[in-house]
Amino acid sequence: MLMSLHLAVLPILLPMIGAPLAALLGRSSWAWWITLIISIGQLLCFVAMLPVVLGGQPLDYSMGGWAIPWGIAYRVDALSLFMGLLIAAIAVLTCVYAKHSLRTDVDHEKLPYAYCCMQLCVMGLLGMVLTADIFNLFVFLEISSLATYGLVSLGKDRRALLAAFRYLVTGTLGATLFLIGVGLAYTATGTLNLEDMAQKFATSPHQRTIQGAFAFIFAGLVLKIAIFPLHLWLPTVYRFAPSAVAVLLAATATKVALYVLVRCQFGLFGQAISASHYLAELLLVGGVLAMLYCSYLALKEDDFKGLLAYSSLAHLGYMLGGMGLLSAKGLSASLMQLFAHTLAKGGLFMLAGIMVLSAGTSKISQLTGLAGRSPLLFLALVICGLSLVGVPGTVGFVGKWQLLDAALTQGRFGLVLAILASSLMALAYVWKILETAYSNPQSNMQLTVKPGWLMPLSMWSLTLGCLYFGFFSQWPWQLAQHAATVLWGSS
Amino acid sequence: MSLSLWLGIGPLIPLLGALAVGFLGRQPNLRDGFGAFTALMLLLWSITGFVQFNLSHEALLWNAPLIFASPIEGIPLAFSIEPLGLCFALLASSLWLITHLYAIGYMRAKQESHQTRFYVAFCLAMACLMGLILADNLLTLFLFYELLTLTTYPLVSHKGDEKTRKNARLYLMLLMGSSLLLLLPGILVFWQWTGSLNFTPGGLLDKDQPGVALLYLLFVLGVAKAAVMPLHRWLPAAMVAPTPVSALLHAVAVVKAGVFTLLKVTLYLFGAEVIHAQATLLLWLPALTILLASFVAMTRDNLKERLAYSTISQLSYIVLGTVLANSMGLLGGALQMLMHGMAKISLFFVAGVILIASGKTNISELTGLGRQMPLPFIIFTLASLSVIGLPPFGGLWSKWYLALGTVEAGQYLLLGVLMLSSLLNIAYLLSVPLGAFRPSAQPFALKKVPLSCQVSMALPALACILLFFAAEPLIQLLRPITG
Repeated sequence: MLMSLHLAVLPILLPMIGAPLAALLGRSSWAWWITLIISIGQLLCFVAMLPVVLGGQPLDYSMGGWAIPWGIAYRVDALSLFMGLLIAAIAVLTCVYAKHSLRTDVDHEKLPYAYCCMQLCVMGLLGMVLTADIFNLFVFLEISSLATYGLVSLGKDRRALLAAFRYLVTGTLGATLFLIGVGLAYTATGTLNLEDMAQKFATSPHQRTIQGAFAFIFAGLVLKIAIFPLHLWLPTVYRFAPSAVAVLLAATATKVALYVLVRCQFGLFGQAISASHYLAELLLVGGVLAMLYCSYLALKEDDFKGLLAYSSLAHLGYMLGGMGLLSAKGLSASLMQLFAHTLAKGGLFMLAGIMVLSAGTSKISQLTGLAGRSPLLFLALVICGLSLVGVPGTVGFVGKWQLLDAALTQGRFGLVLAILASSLMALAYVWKILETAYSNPQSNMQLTVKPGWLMPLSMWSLTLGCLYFGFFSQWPWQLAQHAATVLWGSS
Repeated sequence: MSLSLWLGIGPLIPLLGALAVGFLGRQPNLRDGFGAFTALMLLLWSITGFVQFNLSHEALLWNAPLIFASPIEGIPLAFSIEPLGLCFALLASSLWLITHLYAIGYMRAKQESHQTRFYVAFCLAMACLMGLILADNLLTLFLFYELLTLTTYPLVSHKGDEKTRKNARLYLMLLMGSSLLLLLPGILVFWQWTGSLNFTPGGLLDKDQPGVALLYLLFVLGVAKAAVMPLHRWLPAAMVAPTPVSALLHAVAVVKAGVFTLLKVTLYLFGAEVIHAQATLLLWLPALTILLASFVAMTRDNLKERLAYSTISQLSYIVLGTVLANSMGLLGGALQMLMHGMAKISLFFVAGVILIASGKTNISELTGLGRQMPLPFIIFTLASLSVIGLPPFGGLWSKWYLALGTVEAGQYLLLGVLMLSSLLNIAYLLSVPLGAFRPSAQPFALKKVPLSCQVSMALPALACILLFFAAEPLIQLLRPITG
C-alpha cells in the first residue's frame, strides 16, 4: 500500500539510485542490467497507475508532504500517463537494444557512463511528464538535455562532437528562453504550481506580463522541439549520435518537448492565450511548412539516418497541425499521430542501427540487396516504412485518418491537402529506401557483424506494434481521447 | 459450412498456400504442384459459395459479416459476400488455376529466375484479391486494395533490370499515390457525410445531397486500378512483368478489382439512383477513355502493350456502365467484368505462347507465323471476337446490355461511341491474326511450347463460347443487385 502511494514519484527516484550505481560500479554488463531493471521498474509504475488514472481521478503527490501551492507537486492525469507509458516502454526497448549496439558504437571504458546518462535522460523526460511544478519541469528539462549532450558526444564519428556542441548551444538557448518565461510567469502570479498558476492567470492584472511569459516559453520550446525553421540542429544529432541514442531521442525527446508545449499552451495558459486565432494559425502554418519542406528535404537526402531525421521533422508538422485545430478531436488525433510515429520511427532507427553495425555507414546505397540477404530485416523495413506513409493496416494509417478526419470536420482543407501531399512525398522517400533494399546487389555483400538477437528483438517489438495497433487501435486511441478531453476540460 | 467459416477461409487458402510454396522452394515440382493444389482449393471454395449461397439469392447475405479487427472507432474490418463478389471470386479463382498451369509451363520454358518468389507473391496477391472481394465496408476494401498493389510489385519488377524497375516504380507510385491522394480523402468525406462506410443495398446517400458528382470524381480517379484516363499509364508500364502476371493480374485480377471497387461503391454506398441522377457529366471520362485508348492501341506494335491499351479501353466500358447507373448499364458493366476477363486472359496467353515459341514481341514481326503454328492465332481470333462482342461469344451479352443502358438513358451519343469503339476493336485486334496468316519470306525457327501452356491458352477462349449460351444463370444472379 505504501508503494502504491509513491507510484507517481518512483519513476524519478529509481534512476536517482540506479544512475550513480551504473557509473560507479564500472562494469558495463552490470550497468546494463541495472539500467534494464530500472527501466522495467519505471514501466511497471506507469502500468500500475493505469487503472487509477483511467478511473477519472488524476493521481496527486506532494513531494515531502508539503501542501500543494508551497511544495513541489506531481500529478498524473491521462495525458501524463499516455506519454509516460510510451517513454517508459521505449526506454525498456532501447535498453535491450543498447547492449549490443552501444558496445560497438562507444569506447568500452565509457560504457557505464553511457548507461548512467541514458537513465538520467529517461529520468528527465519522465520527470517533465510527471511534475505539476513549472520550475521543477525546467529542472528536468535541463537534466534530460545535459544527459543527451553527453550521450550524443559519445558517438565515434568525430562529427558527433560538433553535433553535440550545436545541440548544446541550441538546447541551452531554448532552456534559457523557457526559464525567462517561467520567471515572468512567477512574477505575475507568485506561484510555480501549474494548476495554481493557471487559476491566478485568469484574475491577474498583469496580462501583458503573462503574454510575454508565454511568448518566451513558446519560443524556447519551439527550439527544443525542432519545429521548422528552427530545426537545423536535429538531423546532425540523429545522424552522428550512437544508434541506440538516436533511437531514444527520435522516439521520445522531441515528443516530450511537444508534450510540454501542449501542457503549457492548453493547460497552463488556458484559452485566453492559446485559443487566440493568431497562435492557432502560427501552429497550422508552421506545421504545414514543416510537413512540406522537410518531406522535400527527406526526398533529397541520401543518408538513411538523415532521411529518417527529416521525416521526423515532417511528422512533427502533422502533430502541430492537429494541435493548431484547437479542439479535443484535433489534439487526440495529434497524440495518436505521436504514438504512431514513435513506433514506426523507433523501429526504423533501430533498423538503421543494425545496418550501420554491418555496413559501417548509413548511406542508403548500402541497403542494396538487403531483401536477399536478410528477408526478415527487409520485412520490418517494409512494415515500419509503410506505417510512416500511413498505408492502411499500420498504426500510421490510424493516426493519419484521425488527423484528416479532425481537419475535415473543422473545414481546414489546407491542412488536409498538406497532409495528403506530405504523405505522398513520404511514399516517395520510403519507396526510395525500399526499392534500393529490394534491388539485386552487384556485389554479393554479406552481413559482416551479426547483430545478435537483442537488437532485432527490440526492433521487431516496435514493428509488430506498428501492425498490431494498425488493426486494433482501441486502447491508444481511447487513452489519447481521454488525455485530450481532460486537458480541454481544464482550460 | 457456416457463412462466417466460409468467409474466413477464403483469403486464408492462398495465404497458407503462399507459406507452403515458400517453404517448398527447393523442390520445384512439389512447389508448383502445391501451388496448383492451392488454386484448386480456392476454386472449390468459390464453387462451394456459389452452390451454397446461390440458393437464396433474394435474401442477400448482408446480415452476417465476419468482423476481425477494428482499426478505427466505428469502422471494423469485416468480410461478407454478395452476388457481384461471388461472381468475381468464381472468375478469379477458376482463372487462377488455369494461369497457374500456364505459368508452370511458361516460367520453366523461359527459364526465369526467382520462381519461388514469383509464386509466393502470386499467392499473396490472390489472398489480397479475395480480401478485397469479401470486404464488407469501404475501409476493408481500401486495406486490401493497397495490399494488392504492394504484393503485385514483386511480380511486375520480376525481371529486375533497370527498365523493369523504372516501370515498376511508375506502377506503384501511380496506383498508391492516386489512392492516397484522391481515394483516401474521398473515403473520408463520405464517412463525414454519412457516418458509415458499410456496403448497404441501395446506398447511403440522400438523393439531393449536393456535391455528389465531385466526390464521385475523386473515386473514379482515385481508384486508378480501373485505369480511367488520365491515370492509366501504370497498366502499359506493368507489361514488363512475365506473361502469366499480365494475363491474370493485369487483365483480370488487379484491373477488375478496380472496376469492382467502383461498382460496389456505386451500388452500395452512393446508390445507383443518386449517381444516375447526378453524375451524368462524368460519363465522358470513360467514354473518352474508350475511344482514346482504342486509338492508342492501334498505334502500338508491341503485342502486350496493344493488349494493355485494349484493356484500358474495355475497362472503361465497365466504368461507363457503372456511371450510367441504370439497371441495364450496371448489368452490362458487371457482365463485362466477367466476359472481358475471360477473353482477355486468352489473348495474353497467346502472346506468351508466341513469345516462348518464336521470341517475338512485336506484331510487325509475326507475318507468316500463323501458317507455322495456327492454333494460337485461331484462339486469338476467337477471343478477339468475344472482346469485340460478336455472337456466339459471351462478350456479346455485356456489349448488348451496355448498349441498352445507353439507350435507356437516352445517351445516343454514347451509343455511337460504343459502336465506333467496336469497329476500332476489330481493327486493332483482328489485324494481328490477319497479319500472321499472310505468307512470309523465310520460316521461323520455333521452340517447343509446353503442353500446359497450349491447353490453358485454349480453355478460356472455349469458355467464352460457353458463356454465350450459359449467361442466363449469371444474369439471374446479378439482376437483384442491379435492379
